[in-house]
Amino acid sequence: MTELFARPSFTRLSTKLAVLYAGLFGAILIFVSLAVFTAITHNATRLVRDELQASGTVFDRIWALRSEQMRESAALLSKDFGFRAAVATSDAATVRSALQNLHARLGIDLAVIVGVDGRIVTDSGRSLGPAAEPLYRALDSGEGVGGVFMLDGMPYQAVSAPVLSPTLAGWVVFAAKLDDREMASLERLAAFPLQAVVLDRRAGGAWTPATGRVGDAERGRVSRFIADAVASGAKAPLVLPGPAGGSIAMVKPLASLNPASPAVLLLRYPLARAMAPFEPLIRTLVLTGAGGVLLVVVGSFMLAGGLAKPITALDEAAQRLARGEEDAAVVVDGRDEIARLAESFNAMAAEIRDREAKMRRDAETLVVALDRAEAANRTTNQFLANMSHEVRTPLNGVLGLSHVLATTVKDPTQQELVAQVIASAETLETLLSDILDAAKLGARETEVRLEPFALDVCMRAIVAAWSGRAEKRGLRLVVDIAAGAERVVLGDPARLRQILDNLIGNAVKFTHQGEVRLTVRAGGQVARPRFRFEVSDTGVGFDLAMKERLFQPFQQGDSSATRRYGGTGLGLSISRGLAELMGGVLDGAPRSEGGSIFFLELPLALVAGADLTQSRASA
Amino acid sequence: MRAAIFFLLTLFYCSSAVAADLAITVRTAAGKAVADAVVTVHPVEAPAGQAIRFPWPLQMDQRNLQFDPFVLVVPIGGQVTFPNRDGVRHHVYSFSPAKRFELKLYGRDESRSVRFEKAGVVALGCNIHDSMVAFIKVVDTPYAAKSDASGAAVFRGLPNGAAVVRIWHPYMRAPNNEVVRQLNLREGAVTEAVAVDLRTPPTRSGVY
Repeated sequence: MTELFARPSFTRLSTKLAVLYAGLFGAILIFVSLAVFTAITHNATRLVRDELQASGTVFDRIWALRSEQMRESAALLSKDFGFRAAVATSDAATVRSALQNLHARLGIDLAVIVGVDGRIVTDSGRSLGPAAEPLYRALDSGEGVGGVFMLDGMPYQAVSAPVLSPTLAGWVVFAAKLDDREMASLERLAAFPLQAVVLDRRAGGAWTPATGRVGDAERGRVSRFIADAVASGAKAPLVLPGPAGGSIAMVKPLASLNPASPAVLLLRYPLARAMAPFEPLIRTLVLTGAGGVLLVVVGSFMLAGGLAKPITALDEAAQRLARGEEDAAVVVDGRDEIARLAESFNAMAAEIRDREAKMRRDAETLVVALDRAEAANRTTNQFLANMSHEVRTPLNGVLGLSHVLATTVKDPTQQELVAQVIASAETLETLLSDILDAAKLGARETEVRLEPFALDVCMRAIVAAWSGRAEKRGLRLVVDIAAGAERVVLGDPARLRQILDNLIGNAVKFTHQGEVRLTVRAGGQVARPRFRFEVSDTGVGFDLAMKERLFQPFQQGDSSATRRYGGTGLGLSISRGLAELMGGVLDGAPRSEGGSIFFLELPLALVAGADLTQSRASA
Repeated sequence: MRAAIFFLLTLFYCSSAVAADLAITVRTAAGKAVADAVVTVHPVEAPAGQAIRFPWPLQMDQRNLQFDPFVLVVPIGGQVTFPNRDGVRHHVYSFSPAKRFELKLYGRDESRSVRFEKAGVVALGCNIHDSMVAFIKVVDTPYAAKSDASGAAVFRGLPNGAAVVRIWHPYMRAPNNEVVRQLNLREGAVTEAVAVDLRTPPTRSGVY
C-alpha cells in the first residue's frame, strides 16, 4: 500500500505545537462555523418556506375572494330580469350594454356571455378567438366554473354564472387579468419580495411564463421543476436548483378552463437573498476565526519556545559532556519533569567525570607496570641472546676439538666417548640456537627477509634433507604439492623452512611406523593468496587438552615425553612465533585415525611472470 | 345522462266499432319509468273543431318554492291560474315564443291568471327562485295525456284510422324535445314503445 500522505515532519517543537494547536483550533472553528452556517441556512430556508407557504395561502385567499366577488356580480347580473329577458330573446345590444356597464362598475377586465348554443357576446365586441372553444367546452361540462384561461397569451382568472330563462340559456363569464400588476400586488402582500409568475403549458410543451419574469437561462430548470411538482402533487415549498443555492419555490396549480393548457402560479425566493441578512454574522465569524488562528499560532510558538528552552539547554550540556568539557552541568530552574531530568543529567555528568578520572589513573598505573614488565622481558631476552652467543663460542671450540679428537683416537671405547661428547655438544648447540631464536622473537629482533622463491623447489629440498633420517626409522616421507601451489612467491624461505623443519622433525621423532606427509595447497582470494602447509603423521598424536601447552615454550605433550624423546620444547613456540611474524597461523590437531596434523597458513604474494629457473636458483 | 323511452303501443280488441284504445308507457333505456311526458294524438281525419276540455284543473300552484305540477297540459285558449301557496313572493315569467308573460311579484294566496292562445311549450320560471321551473304544454288536440309515475299514458275512445302521436318531455334529447310516431288506430287496443334520451335536468336544484 502506498502512503497517501507523507507524514509531515517538523524539526522544531514550536512548529509542532503551533501546527497542532492551530490544527485543533481550525478544526473546532470549521466545526462551529459549519454548525452555525447549517443552522443559519436551515433557519433562512425555513423562514422562506414558511413565508412561501403563507404567501401561497394569501394568494389562495385573494384568488378565492376575487372569485367570490366576481361570481356574486356575475350571479347578480344573471338574475337580473331584464338581462335574462335579453339573453332569452338574444337581444345582443342589451346584453352588451349590461356587460359594459358591469365591466366599468366592477373593474373587471373581461365580461362575456356564452350562449348554450355557443354564441358569444363580449363587452367590447372583440372575438375570443381560439380561447372561445375551450371556454365553451369547460362551461358546457359543468356549472359555476371558475378557473384560468389564456387569451392572447394573457392568463385570465374567470368565473361564470349560468343564465336561466328558466332553462339554461348561457353563462355570464367575468374575468380578471393575472398580469404583472397582479403579480406585483401579490409580491407586495408578502413579507419577502417573492417572484410570482404565472406559467402555462401549451400543447404538452414546456412551461412558459405568461406573466411575471423568468430568466431565459433558468426556463428549462423552472419548467422541469414545475413538471415534477405537478406530477408529484407537492404542496410544500421545494428547492428549485439554480446558481447561488437556487431558490425555494412553491407551485400552485391553477384550475384551468382548458385542460390542454394547464396553468400554475410559481412563487420563488432566491436562497442567496434569504442568506443576505446573515452575511455580517458570517463575516464576523470568519474574521474572528482568522484572528483566533493567528493568536493560537503566535501563542503556541511562545509556549513551545519556553518549553524548548530547558530541553535545548540539556542538549547543549549533553554535547559539552560528549566533548569532554569540564562544565557539563545544566542550570536547573523550577520543579517540573524537565527540571528533574536536568538534575538527573547533572548527577550523571558528575558520575561520568569521576569514573573517567579513576579510569585514567588506573590506566596510567597499568602503563607503568607494562613498561616495567616489557623492560624486564627485553633485558631477559637480551641477556639470553648474549649468553647464547657467549656460550656458543666455547661450545664451537669443544665441538671442533672433539671432531679433531675423533679422527685421532683409535681406541673404540675412546671413540665412543668422543662420539657421546660430540652428540652432547650438538644437542647443546641446538638448544642454544633455539634459545637464541626464542629470545630474539621475545625481544622482537627477528627480521623477515622477503625474496622470490619457488615453493615446490623449496618443499622438495626440505623433504630431501629429512629423507635419510626417515628412512633410517623405517618411515615413509611423502610430499604432496597441489597443482595451484607450484608458484613463485615472495616470502622468507629460510623462516618457512625453519618452521617446516621443526614440524617434520617432530613428526619423524614421534612416529614409530607409517608415514609423514607434507601437503601444500593454494587458497585465499586472488588478490591476497594464502598457502596451507600441512604436516601429518601416524605417530603418537596428542590430546586436545594438551594442545595449548604444546605451543608454550619449554613444554611438551607431557613431562614423560621429554624423557623419552628429548628436545627443548621450544620448537613449536618458536614456529608459531615465526608464523605470526609472517602474518600466518600455526595450529595443530590430533587425527581421528591416530597421529597428529599440524598446519601452517601463510599469506604469500605471487611473483607475477617470475622465471622458474631463476627462482629455483635463488631457493 | 342518456335516457331512453320505451314507447309501448298496445292494441286491444275493442267491441265498439268506432273507437280504439291506446296505452303508452314511457321508460328510459334503463327501464326507469318517465313521468310528465306529454302524449298527444292527432287523428289525420280531425273531428270538427269544438272547444277542448280536459278533466284536470288549469292551475299552476307555487308551493314549497316549486311549481306544481311540473308539467301542465293546457288546451289552446285555456286560461291558467297561478295561485301562490308560499309565504314568499314569486315573480313568474316566461320568455317562450308560445307565450311571453311576466307576473310581477305577488304574495301568498294571491292569484294571477294567463290565457294561452298559441299551441306550443311555455317554460315557466321564477325570477326570484331560479330552482323553480315548470312547463305548460299548450295543445290543439283533445287527445292529450301526461304519463304517470309508472310512465303510462292511456287513451280510450280514440277514432279509428291513421293518427300522428307525439311524445314530448321538457328534457328529451331530441328535436323540439319530442318524438313522433305514425300509427294506424283500429278497433281494439294499440301499444307501442319508443326509446329516447333524457338530458340531465339543468339547475333543478339551483346553482348556489
